[in-house]
Amino acid sequence: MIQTSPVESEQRSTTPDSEVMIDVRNLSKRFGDIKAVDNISFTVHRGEIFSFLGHNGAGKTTTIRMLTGRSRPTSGSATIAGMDIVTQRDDILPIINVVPEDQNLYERLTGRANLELFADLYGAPRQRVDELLERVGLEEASKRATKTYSSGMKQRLLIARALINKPELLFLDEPTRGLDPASSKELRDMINELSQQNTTVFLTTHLMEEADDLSHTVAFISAGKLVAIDSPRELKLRHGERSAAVLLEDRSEQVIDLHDAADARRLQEWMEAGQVLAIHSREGTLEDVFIEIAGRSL
Amino acid sequence: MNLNWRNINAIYRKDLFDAIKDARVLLALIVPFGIAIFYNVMFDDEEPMQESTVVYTEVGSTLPERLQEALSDTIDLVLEPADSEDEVRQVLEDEDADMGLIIPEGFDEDLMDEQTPALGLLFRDGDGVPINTLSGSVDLVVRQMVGTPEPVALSVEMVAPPDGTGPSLFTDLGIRVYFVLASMMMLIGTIGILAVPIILAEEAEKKTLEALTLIASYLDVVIAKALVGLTYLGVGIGLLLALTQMWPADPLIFFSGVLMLGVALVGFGLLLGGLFKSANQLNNWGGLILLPVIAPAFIVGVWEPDVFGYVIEAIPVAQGMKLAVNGMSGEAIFANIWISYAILAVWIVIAYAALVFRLSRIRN
Repeated sequence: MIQTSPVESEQRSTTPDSEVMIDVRNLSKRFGDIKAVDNISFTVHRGEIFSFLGHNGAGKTTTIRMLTGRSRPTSGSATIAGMDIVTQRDDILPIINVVPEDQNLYERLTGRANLELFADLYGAPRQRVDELLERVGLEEASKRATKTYSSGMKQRLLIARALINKPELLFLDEPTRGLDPASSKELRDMINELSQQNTTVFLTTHLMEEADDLSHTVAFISAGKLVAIDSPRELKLRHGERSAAVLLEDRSEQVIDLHDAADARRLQEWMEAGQVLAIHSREGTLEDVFIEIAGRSL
Repeated sequence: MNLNWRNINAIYRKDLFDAIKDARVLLALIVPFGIAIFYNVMFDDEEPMQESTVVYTEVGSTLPERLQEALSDTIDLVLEPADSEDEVRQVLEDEDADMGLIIPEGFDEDLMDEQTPALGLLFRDGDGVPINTLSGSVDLVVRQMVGTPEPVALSVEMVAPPDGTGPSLFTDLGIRVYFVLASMMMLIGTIGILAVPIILAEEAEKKTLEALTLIASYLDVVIAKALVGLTYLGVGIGLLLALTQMWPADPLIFFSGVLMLGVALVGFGLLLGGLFKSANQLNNWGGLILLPVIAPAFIVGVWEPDVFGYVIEAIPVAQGMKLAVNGMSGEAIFANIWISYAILAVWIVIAYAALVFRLSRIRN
């Protein structure tokens, strides 16, 4: 199991460093007549958890491929830690890493051998391998071929591999896919911990609750265009209903409009009469926001 | 594209031991190795002598045995006695013999008495019978029986052999060595065209290539794979030389030929590895691709020069085989080996130019 100290959501909401880690300006990528990424701009600060949400084919992977130096932009520019992704690619690679969507491990190699290979590639000491195996709870399984690992174990090894170079910027592509709820929770705690340690996290996920729970900033991409970007709370407030559901003593649920003076008086009366059991915000979820903006759910 | 030897070394060490755990790669190494050992055990170094049968009238003459002894270095002569001239003719008509000797009664005695006895030579109208050799030898043996000194001490040698014609190739090299060398070329072919591309295609298929190229360049990866292929090749050829107890008489020609062929085929293999979507797909089609690549190794020495022969000449394995044959024998069995070097060099340039072009386009 992933061993991290639990991180409360209030801690997560701490403001990231003001230093810009990713600065994307009018970035586009065309494949023939198809605009995979269409003139997007955004910034991500150091230590920020940034979630990139969109349908399959919306342009998420193409954006990540450009930011990780595997694909050249057709137009526009982007910097990582102030370095240009095209001209200073070789300087950027040692400070970033990726947990890919596919569990691309060397299955005939042991878990340890997988990590040792990448430790050698990044010039990391072998001691780092031991630290990471312990951190992701795979010390005992480290001598087994990874083809014998469960999906969760493989995911933890992938995370250990991505941390081998102590990256300043970590790209996580659907990191909790295939994980059981407990492992997902541990991974989310780990992501929060990385953020606390000033590691910037660029996350793509289909799980809106995960993005809502983890992210400082959420960006929605649809058909290659960036259609919304803000903190989860702001997005929900801007696009959700401004209402609340009030559960009363008689177990009835009353919906009140938070802008309506009459509803405000009704709420006051219920409270004075001691009839209110619970009040639930109806600000909406990120899923609602996404459907409203993109027209359909993820 | 910058080279990073730390990356190349890390990937090389990983592949060197990981790749042979893949059954497809292991088979690509073991099969030609096994074939070479098989040929080594099956054939010996003696040149196979042509066998001819001579049927003769049994009249107590020593001529047949003397003839057999005189030809023992070149033809394995089988003697078959007959009771009469008619029987000799019948045996020839039945194609059970290549030559008939009609020896009259008292042939040896008449010969010694200088009475010029009659001697009939009958030949079957057939294929492959060395008529000139047999008839010439009869004349020689009869002179020996009479005691006439041979006018000259004749020696026969093939000078400036035509490029790899069968008899000179096998005479100078031996069937065992020829086929073991051909199997070595097959080993180089399977490593270059099958094992190396499978290693690369598997990286792409399993998407481990994406993880590697996050820190290493494609060039680092490709060079590491090429070095793995050349290491397998070196170990394989070295082991085969040791097990077959063969050592090239001209190591420079032999090893330079093997190395150039290996470099060329590994280059094409790496190109091939990028064309197939999966290692299994490549493994399935690999046999078809391999066949025209390695077949010249087995026929380059015996194929008559014609249009098809010229096509074979253009295939790198044919030239690698020529250099290996000359290097192993230490003789110029194949003439003009600089052409072989030139053809291999051209293939190397083509393979790696195409590879560099392909790598330069990957990031776009």
